[in-house]
Amino acid sequence: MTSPPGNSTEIDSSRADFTPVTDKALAALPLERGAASSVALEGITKSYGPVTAIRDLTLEARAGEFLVLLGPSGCGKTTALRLVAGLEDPTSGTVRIGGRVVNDVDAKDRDVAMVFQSYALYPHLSVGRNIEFPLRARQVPASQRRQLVATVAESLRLEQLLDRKPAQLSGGQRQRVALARAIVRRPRAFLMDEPLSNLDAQLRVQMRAELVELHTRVDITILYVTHDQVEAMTMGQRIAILNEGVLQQLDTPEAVYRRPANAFVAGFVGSPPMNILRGRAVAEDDALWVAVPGGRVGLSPPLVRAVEDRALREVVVGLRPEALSLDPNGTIAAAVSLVELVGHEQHVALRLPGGQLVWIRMGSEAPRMRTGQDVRIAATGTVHLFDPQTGNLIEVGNE
Amino acid sequence: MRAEHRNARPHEERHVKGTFALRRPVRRIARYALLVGMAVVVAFPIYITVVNALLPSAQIGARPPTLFPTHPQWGSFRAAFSEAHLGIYLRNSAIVTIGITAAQLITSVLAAYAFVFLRFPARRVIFMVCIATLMVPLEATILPNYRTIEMLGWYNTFPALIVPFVGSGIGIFLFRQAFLGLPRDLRDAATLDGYGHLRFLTRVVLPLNRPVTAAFGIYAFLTAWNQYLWPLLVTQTNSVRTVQIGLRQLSISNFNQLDVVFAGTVLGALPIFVLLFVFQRQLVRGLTAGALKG
Repeated sequence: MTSPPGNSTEIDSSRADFTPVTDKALAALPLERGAASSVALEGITKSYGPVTAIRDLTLEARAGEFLVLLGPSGCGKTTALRLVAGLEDPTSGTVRIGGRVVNDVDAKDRDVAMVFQSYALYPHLSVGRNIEFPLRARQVPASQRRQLVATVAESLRLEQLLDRKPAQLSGGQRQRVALARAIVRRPRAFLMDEPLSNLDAQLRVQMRAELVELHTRVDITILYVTHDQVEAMTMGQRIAILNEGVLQQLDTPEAVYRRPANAFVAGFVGSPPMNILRGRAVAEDDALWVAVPGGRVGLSPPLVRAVEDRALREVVVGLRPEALSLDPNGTIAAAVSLVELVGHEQHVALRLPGGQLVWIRMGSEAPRMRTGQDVRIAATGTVHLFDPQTGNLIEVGNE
Repeated sequence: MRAEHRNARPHEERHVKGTFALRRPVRRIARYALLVGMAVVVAFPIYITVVNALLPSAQIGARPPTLFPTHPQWGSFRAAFSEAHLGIYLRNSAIVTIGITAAQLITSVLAAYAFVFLRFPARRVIFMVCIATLMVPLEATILPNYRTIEMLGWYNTFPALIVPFVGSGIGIFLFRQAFLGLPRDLRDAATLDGYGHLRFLTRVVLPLNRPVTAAFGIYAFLTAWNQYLWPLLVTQTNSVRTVQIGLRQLSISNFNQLDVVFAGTVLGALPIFVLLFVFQRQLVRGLTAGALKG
């Protein structure tokens, strides 16, 4: 019924060995400064028969940058990575690595390394042999191979595990072996395809920190694919958000959060997501409001101007959960549907009269609310305005 | 330790065990009796063959039959080589069998690899055709194959014995199923690590599929070694006759030393027994290793 004792100790030991990577070990990594290259996709389209996975995608990871490709499953982000790796050929467009067009260069000659979600370790080879595998293909002399493997193993704390088989390792250890196998080649760029998805939550947070640390101290270009917006926000220097094969926005995490290019990005980034409400522009009490289910949302003067300039009747407003608060005099009526206490704060889902849910964020010290309780809320933070036709953010000058 | 464990059990459980204890020996005896019976049925002809090989020729077929040779005559085994050309037959069988086994392994592995890891037009259709060959019995292909061999001038040569069997539908199917179990990421990882198809096949795919390789190798070897109809049709002289055909020739000719024929039969079957004994262990080990990989 309970797991055998050997099992639990193994997990414990895998936890215990999570000491931070040492500077000395990192400095010894076989990655010279300047080895990192930029990676660029220019006007890439990729179709599989009638299905278009990527449509006219242009983006560039600068040399040494940590760029995250973020999007829901099936948005084409993994395909983009495989195009860079050379595992797929684009239907049209140009792939550049370090400024050089590599469309006709074989995958093995592109000099990029990939870390897979499944780790893709060779099950029949020991850890040492796994790390050594790419060096053997490149006919690196044995003495040099041994030295490189030893250095990389030390920097990723794998030196005790070199003789083990992948099956004997914990998830975190396998992840580090996959990383070691990528690093040992000194590639121009690292491509990572959801590398942390198979780890449990705690380990994921630790590996996240380790990857960021690795990147800040060694000069490497990382193209990192994930569907997890928390990973994207915490790790990426810039984030490229894709949906249905189309690039939605490419910017810093902060900019993506503060000024989402469209309603999709707004709804995808942030947890809980931004509340997107569809409403009508109405003039009441000598002011312009957006009438939404359950009440109305006030607009700042620049937003009012924007609505008037465009003569919009329909408007889509976006409100982050922290931009809403409970207020007895609030302009929107709603009923409490669900309360999630997440330690330092509460996320409360409120149901509007039309049935739509809106999330608000509150401190954990605020009194717990009952399900079904009627409340009023007010928009106290930034109101985003989106074009009802295109979904694009309506930019206003001074926000 | 087990007894202690039982004593520690509560009273009712011991009672239940008691009824089992009554029934179990009966069942066990029945089961073993059945197994022994089947073993006798299978082993008796083999035993009689060995016994007859050790009897003087005149005593073979006598009544009552001799079930245990009191004065074994080992000379028949030597005679099988010196008088009945067994050495040549065994050599021929070895050439043909090893040739067929090696060829089937190579072609099946390569074809299965292509079906799994390469993209080419009509892949599914071609695979279906390969599978469909399993449904064509040997008898149906004998005539066209015979005419082809004749046309090529291969009658009574080793190519006639080997070439018609270099491909195997079962082999392609078995290896394809095994290769499908490999994660695609492994191929991608190996590609980026700098390994082309052939090196990926030899360094990763085959080491990971030892059990199926061993299993199919044995199957191919047994089938090839035991072939009878085809070798009978396309051989005419001892220089290419396999063991099965050679022994048949002996027994129907006026060669009247039956003990030598039996000795030859024993020697002809020996490689199969050795192979099974040696590889049974290999097979089990391969399968266990696969299970532990989990």
